[in-house]
Amino acid sequence: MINRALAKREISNPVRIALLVMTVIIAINIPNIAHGLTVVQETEAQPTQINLFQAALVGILYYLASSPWLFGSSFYTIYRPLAAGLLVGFVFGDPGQGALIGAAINLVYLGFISAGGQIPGDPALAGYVGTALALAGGLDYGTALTLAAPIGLLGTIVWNARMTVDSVFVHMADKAADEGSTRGVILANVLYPQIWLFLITAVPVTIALWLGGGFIIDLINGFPVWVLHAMAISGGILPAIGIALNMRFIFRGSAIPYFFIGYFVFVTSAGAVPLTVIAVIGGALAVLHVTLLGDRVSSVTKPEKAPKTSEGA
Amino acid sequence: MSDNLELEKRLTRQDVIKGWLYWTFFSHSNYNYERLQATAFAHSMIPAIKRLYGDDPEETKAALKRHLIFFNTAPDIGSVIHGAVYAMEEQRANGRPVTEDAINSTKVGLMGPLAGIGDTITQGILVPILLAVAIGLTGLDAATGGVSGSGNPWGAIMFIVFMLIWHVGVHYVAFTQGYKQGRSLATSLFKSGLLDKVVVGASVLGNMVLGALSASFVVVYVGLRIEAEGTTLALQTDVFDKLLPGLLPLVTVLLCWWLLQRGMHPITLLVIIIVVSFIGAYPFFGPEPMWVTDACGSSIFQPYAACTYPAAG
Repeated sequence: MINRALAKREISNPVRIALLVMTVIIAINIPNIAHGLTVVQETEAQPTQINLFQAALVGILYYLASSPWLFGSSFYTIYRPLAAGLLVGFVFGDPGQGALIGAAINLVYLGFISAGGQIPGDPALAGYVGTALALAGGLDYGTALTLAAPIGLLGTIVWNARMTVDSVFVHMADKAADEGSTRGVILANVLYPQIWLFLITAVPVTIALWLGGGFIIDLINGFPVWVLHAMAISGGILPAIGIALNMRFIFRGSAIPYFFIGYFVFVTSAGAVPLTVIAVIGGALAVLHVTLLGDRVSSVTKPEKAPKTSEGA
Repeated sequence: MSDNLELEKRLTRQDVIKGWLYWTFFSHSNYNYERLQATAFAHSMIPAIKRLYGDDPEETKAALKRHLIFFNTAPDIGSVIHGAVYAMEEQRANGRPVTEDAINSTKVGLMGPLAGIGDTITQGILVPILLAVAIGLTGLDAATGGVSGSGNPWGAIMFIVFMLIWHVGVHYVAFTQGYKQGRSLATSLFKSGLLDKVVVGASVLGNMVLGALSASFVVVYVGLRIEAEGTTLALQTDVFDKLLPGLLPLVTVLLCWWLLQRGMHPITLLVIIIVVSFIGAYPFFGPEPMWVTDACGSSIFQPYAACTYPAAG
């Protein structure tokens, strides 16, 4: 019995892994396939001005990105510039181009992490406002990215306003608890802070885009050639920050060589090996690496020095 | 909890589901500097408090106050704590020797380690890898500046859907298993070594993807040419590309990583990069008037790689 069970296991394991890898490859490529099916006609919609309706929608989307209404998962989904770009793209009628610009802005925030309530910049504000300006003004991605970086820094003001004023509602919850009112605690946790959040997110973004959007776009389009080039150049270098921020967590120990493998596979193939394929190869190498390490794995994860997760903005 | 059957006051399945939903949705609804997720924790305890202490105003008050203390953890994996506290409150309501101190020490003792694990796995590894793959799928192309062609929105859609499922799923499993197994679950999670394997494996995969991402999106292109004795030496094509293809972007990323490791603030780095880009883009070597000069060969850096030099003459 035992032997049979063992034999069965040994046969089925490679099959299982093969099936898993195939599933992963197919799953990863579903978006590519879907895109091929949906791209029938491309209309180059190029709105030059942001109207109040569009500005309000972007403002509300930015509020939603910080709100709890999407199963509390906003912070991991629509708070990221990639998703922000997609949604703003829908508002402006071109989700593909929106996702593209969102993707570019997201490169800077790839290593974005919030630990202990501190954030270094606000990816959502950079994503929503940056994509809206880029789509409305027809900016290229380097310019959009450089424009979005300072906007993201402004976002820390929003974050601080939220974190500071929310402390007031904790005391309201205390008072409700003293009276034994569960309803009071719920109001203090949901209603009041959400009203405040709406006031400091949706309202200023709507006003800024509606009144200032056209002005900023005109300003950028009036820049001399070399300033636009400067923005494009920094758009090429800024992704290094996002990547480096993320590297602090994983660029260590025996995993370091894989960074160089990934880098030079892409460079020497000049992009002929796409990122998705590199991810699948990386997954295969990960299984191999962990298997070969065996029980020594725990000694690898103990870092000599824990990464500094909080930026203390 | 094998003696659950003997309990006089029992939590129903509905109570647990409600608690899970309250925490999933509103974990960061009232995020604040003073007590971080305190009101959210109390909110998620309300279904249990109502069921167990509903007929006793004094106990209700005490329970609400007990859960309004400082609390902060990773929202997804951290819900193990909520499940465990549900189980402890149930025992306490039935007169078992579960003290207020025991509940508090469970919360305080587990929230730190679970925050560390949760933040590393979700924010530090899973989100960036998924983002990287999804960014690759949008069709963003550093060589053209993203102005040609249209983007593919499906990568971004995949990212949102996948993270949503992950977030809600992990929440649910952690919460319900925490309730069933109590705090022993967290201990066994740390002891099994599974987390170490996941972290190491994901680091390998993450490094591959980050390497490829650096190669594809970090662009540092020197446009400077040195003309001496009748021959022209283009620094980029004649020197750097001959030394090692992709040398400058790699050095840039590693330099950024090193500076961040040394404690430089990301915002400082961002400002430095923008300043360097502006200096690098200024057409020092171009003809007058400089504000209309093209960057091709007239500045230190050059946006993107594609740039046709004017015919020598």
